[in-house]
Amino acid sequence: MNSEAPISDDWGRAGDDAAFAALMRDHYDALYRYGQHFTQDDALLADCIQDVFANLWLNRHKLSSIEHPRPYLLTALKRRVFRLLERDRKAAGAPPAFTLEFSVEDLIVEKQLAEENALKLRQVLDQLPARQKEVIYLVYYQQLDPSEVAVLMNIHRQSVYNLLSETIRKIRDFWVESAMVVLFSLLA
Amino acid sequence: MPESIETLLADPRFIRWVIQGDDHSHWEAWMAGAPGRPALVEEARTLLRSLAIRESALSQEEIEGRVEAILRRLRDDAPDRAAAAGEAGRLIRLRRGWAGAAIVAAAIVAAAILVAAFWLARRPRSAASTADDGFATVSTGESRRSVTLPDGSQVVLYPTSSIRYATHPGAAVSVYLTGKAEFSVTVAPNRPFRVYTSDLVTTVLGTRFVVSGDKVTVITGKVSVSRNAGPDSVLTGVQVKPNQALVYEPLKRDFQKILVDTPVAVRPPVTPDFRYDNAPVTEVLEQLKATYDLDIVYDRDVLQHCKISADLSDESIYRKLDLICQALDARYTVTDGTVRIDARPCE
Repeated sequence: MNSEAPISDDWGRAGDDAAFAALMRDHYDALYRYGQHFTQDDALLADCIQDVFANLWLNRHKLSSIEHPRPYLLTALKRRVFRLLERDRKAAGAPPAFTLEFSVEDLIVEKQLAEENALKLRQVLDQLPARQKEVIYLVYYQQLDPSEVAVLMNIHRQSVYNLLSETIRKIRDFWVESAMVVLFSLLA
Repeated sequence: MPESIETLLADPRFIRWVIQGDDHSHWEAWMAGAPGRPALVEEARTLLRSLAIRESALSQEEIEGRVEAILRRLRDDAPDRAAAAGEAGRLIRLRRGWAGAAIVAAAIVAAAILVAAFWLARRPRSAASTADDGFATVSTGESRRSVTLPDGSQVVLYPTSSIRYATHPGAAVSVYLTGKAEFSVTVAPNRPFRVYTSDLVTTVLGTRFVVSGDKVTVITGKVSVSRNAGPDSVLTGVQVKPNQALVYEPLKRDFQKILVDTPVAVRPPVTPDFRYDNAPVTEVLEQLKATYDLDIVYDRDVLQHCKISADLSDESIYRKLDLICQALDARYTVTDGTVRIDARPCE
């Protein structure tokens, strides 16, 4: 079973233990990777992932077909992590922020980027708002469709595209300013 | 057809192609469609590389352990006690149970590892050894280096390469490799030995083999190689035998088995000297299969009456096949590491 396989409602039958185990194996890593950008508490994250799967298991008979499990599970995880973090914090404050650690070091070797330029790129990226970082992450590192990202983040689909465009523009500007023009034929 | 880089980098289909190689033929055709496109794709790649991140990932063993723990817990809970989601008391009970297990699990197995940036491997500039939270990293600069892993396996690390491994491995040994290394693994029936590179996962039981980038060459024994594209891809383990090399082409996402340039005899021949006097050809072919550990496919019925008298000693395997086919007025082809003989019946 691969992650593209939809969750179907004929899991009421015997043998869905194995199918469920396969589903967990297919998606566990993605959930773990996504969750860590909201919390560094490994035990809490493991709890949340378990809760997501436990819920899915308990409600499996009531579920109609879920076409795409990945965005469904990521959404469930985000909700669960938020809820648990809020409870622990005991304060109705700002929701946990999405964090993303950029790694520009390889560009130094790969593209012969000078260290000070790499630092500048890192700054540009670090200063992006959390919302933008989450969009980048979900599109490029979880490979979700922009429409799925919109649902998960509760924003307009157009906003997803806008945030991506803006990111691309900022990175392009950086490369141009670093006088690395030779790497691009500047196409409109 | 999308033309701007922003459109491309917001197109899930394009992203999946650039990152995973999906739908390669479609995009190859698209690139050929207009002169500026290859440069555009190159720019897109650079922009994506600029977004490289650092992220923790779990080893396969760790995931397996956690999945099994969840399954156990789901089975243990009697259906009539199963509550709907959100029942606070039950949630707390689950959590405490898990926390205990997590502490024990963490003590036994190093859980999280740092994954290097987005499909680029780090290349250390000089030889170094470091250790941190249960893992050791060894890197080479200009020269090779021998490393003995905790389980006794030997690794020869080639220049400008590095490996990372757990100093106290649990049920399985996992090694993360960038660059090239030769492995001699000690046999252990219930302990898988896995080498992870950015694209491949090579699983071994007692062999010698070389892993370099996208190529795995088996010297003795057998390994199973699969794509390392995360758990959400369908892992197909391809068996690689001695004298076969597996080359992984990321854009095609396919394995291509090729015969190693100069196959060497892996076992002493049953018939000494490879000199045959009116021997059945089928027997000769079976001996070649056993000696060189090659897949040789032929039609038994067609060749059943064929006999050969020849001195095949001191010849390479290809030359041996040439001579046999000459005698039979047959031909052989090699596809995917398998030799296929097309012949006509003998009387």
